[in-house]
Amino acid sequence: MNYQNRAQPDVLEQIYVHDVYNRLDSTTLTQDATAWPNVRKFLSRAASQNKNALVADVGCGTGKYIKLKSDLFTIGCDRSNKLCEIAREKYSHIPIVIADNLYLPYRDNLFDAVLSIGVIHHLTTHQRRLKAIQECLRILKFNGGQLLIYTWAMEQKQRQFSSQDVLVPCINHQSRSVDITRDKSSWSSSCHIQENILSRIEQVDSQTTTTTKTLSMLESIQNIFQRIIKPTSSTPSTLKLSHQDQLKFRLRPFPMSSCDDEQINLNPCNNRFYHVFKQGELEMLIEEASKAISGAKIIKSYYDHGNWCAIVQRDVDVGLL
Amino acid sequence: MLTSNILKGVAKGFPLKINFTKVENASVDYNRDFIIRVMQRIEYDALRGAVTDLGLHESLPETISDSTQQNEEFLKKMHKVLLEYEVEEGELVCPETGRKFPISKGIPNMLLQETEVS
Repeated sequence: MNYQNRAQPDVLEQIYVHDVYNRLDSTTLTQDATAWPNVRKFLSRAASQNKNALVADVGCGTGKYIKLKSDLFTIGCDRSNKLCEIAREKYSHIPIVIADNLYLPYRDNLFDAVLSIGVIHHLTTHQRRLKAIQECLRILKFNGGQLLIYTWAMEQKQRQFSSQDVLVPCINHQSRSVDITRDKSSWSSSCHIQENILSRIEQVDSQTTTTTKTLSMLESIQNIFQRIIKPTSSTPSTLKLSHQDQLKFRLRPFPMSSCDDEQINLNPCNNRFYHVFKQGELEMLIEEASKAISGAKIIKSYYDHGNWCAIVQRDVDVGLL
Repeated sequence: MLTSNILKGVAKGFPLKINFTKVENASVDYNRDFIIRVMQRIEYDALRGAVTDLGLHESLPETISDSTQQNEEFLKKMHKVLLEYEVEEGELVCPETGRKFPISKGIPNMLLQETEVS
């Protein structure tokens, strides 16, 4: 894959999000079939309201929300062609489209409701996350259209994230738990019981120094990563890859699978990028996004199963009446 | 076909023209209420264009009035056209740029090329 002409956030997302999803086997991907109860409630409310018919699930994955309510027409879109195909096989005639959530192929002001569940936390920069929300708002109908956003929270009960921008390995469910031995570093493993069968091992702190002569593949990538992504979310992160770093990306487009370091056998692992949200951050992002979109405001925000969530409603601008 | 009425191309690119090589006809339960609701959202002229593109022998009136939208026969026709016909293989063509978005296994690929992204 030629990364030469690609923008850096694009490259990072390609490697740490899209390629990972496309590499996971379909059994693993379809394990995550539980519909969040509050999302289900949101859809039920939308269905019960008169004149509601169209819903867009942006980043729909294997389509678990699309066929949930038979009295709504829900169209899904996902960046991963593999996920779309799996959804199409799983649910016959499911309306699904391969698309990028930064360039949604939908008409303006169309949908009664939009879902963005566990999607924008995969975007590597503030600007991209902002644009994703703006796109979701753009396609919402004017009078009473509602957008539901779920993003992974930094504040978790069972684990601690070392920073807001993290790479989280996930293990192919068919493998046994990976035995990782490393000098002078600690791995904490935690299972998200309420989420799905994929168990995630997270590197606690990449700041620990190592006395091994050659950096392992994982550490090199982690180091590049920590240098690139700023830990705070208040300022947009600017990504600068040095020439050497670019070489690393070019030579090893799939860092995990091409790792031949015997000490760390991470073959079953795939690392996914997450920007985990601090309390209040999602609201700030939505407010910033709403400046460009008329009539949008947050009507509810809450914490649910390790996610920061918000419902944004789009109403006719009162000033125009 | 409801899908094609929702999708747009690069900037304003609507309506997308449909070129098909394979169309599927499936039977879907008729929900009168839903059809009435969804009629508020669709672009009717674009839908008529899509019906022509697919070569379907369904005659749809040029304009629709409030009474047409309550007419049972019309609603059943809308149901058929919106929900029971699907393009399995083909492409969607943007009226602005001529760009062709492929449809494979019933899934349109609407990803933009780098040159189309501003």
